[in-house]
Amino acid sequence: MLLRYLKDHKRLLIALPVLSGIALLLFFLYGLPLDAFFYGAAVLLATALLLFVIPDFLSYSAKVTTLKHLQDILPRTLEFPQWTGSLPQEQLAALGKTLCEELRTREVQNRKRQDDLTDYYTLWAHQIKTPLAAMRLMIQSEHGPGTEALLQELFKTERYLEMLLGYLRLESFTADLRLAHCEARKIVKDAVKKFAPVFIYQNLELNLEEFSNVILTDEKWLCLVLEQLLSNALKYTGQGSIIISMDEKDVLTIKDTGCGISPEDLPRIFERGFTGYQGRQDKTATGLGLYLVKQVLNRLGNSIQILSSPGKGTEVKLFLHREELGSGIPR
Amino acid sequence: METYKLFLVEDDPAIARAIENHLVMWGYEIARVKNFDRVWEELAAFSPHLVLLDISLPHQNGFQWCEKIRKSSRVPIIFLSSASGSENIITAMDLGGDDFIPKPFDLSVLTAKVQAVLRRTYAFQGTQNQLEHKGVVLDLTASTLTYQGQRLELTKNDFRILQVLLENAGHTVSRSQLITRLWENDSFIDQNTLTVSMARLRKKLEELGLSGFVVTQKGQGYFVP
Repeated sequence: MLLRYLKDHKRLLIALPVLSGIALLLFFLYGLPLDAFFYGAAVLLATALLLFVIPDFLSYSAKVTTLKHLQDILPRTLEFPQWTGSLPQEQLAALGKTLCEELRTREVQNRKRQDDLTDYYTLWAHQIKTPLAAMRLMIQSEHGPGTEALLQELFKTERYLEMLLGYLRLESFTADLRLAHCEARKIVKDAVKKFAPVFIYQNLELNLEEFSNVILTDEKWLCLVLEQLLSNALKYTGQGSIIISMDEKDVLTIKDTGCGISPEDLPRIFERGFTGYQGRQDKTATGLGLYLVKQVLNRLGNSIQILSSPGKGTEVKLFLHREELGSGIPR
Repeated sequence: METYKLFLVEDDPAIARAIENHLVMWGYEIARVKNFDRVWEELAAFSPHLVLLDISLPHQNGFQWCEKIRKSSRVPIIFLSSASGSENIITAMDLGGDDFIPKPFDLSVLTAKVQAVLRRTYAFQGTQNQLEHKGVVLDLTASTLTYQGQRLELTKNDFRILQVLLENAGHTVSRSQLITRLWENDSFIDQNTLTVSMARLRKKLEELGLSGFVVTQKGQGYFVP
């Protein structure tokens, strides 16, 4: 920093020998005693250093440190501090302040725009539930030959709606989070029951094994994850069964006898918008289901593993164990 | 036999109409709210045996109406709503609701719940947990069937199947409806299991002298005449 200080004040540094040289020359031309010059110069230099240079350097150094620190925290806080110094410095500080304010304002506006959009979609999703419910009732009242197939399509629509609502609620995840000790099997049952019509229509068998694990989790978010995984399993299993089990380490396994996922696609299945080979085949995949699952699980702090044999089936493992922190959580 | 009167508080006309048509077919007398400002007055005038109450309504919401109703009546209330988060269900029960059906729902679920609540509320002591049809009595707590003094123990699934058929006596129940109802009661059976169960059930009924109690309607399902 000292070198930089000197560089910043190089005009003064050059002025020093130049002016001293001129003074020396004057002394010489006037025939004045030269040691008076040297003595005077030494006194002046010492005074300058003590009373002016060193304090100035300290102030310079302090400002440099402050600004270095500001460099780190400013992008986060967007608060520009008060600044006193030379006029150009103060003007630059004022500029910094203006930019920070502008950024904060824009952030607020963007936030509001995003919230408005989310609110609109949430309201829309709730509104559409009414005609969907009405359609369900009317189709059931008919009992025609096409009733079963119609109800399946309606069910798919209702599932897409649930997925949308899941996305919208991701935004406010932490506000929404309610961890509690839950019976894992009960949550699985709740999720599975929603898909009864699909199991029946596709004539697939469900093997829900007995297990009594109690886990610490958010029931509704876990249910959402399970529903999405079940939806996938059912979509890609033409015949056979789905087996759900859980071991003593709180690992939940959903195993299907479906068409499986190819090894090339497997590393990418959680990517947003990735549809893979099967998905592209039938054009109904959005590539968003597993992305949503991963987002939720990340926020819940649980991990997921998917194993698959193309042509044989897929196995999804959810690691639902959660370490209890301290003694604050009542059982 | 008394005709039960049901009061329907639902603002969507399509849903209200579908519910009304279905329940009328089941022999209930239905009245729909005309003026959502005067739900209590219309209810009091109709004096129903049961109220079906939506939550999102114009003017006041379902919870508010429930509170008002509960001030002076113990009439059973079943909530219907698309706002089905557990907080809403808990609130509904806390305010004195008797059951909650989340939308979208199946008509068969509606019928079953209405029947269950009516039975709980109005059946004579001792018959509240029983289903009776043509001399066959199902004891819902013991899961047994009694006919002409003979008692039959049935497996959980077989019993449930018979229960659904009796609840829908006179109407055809499709195989998928049967399987769905069993799934709701945590019996995750498939088509094969149903076929086996039906065969076993019929054999047992025959032993009691009840052959022909359950009739197959080809391509449609089963029914108990």
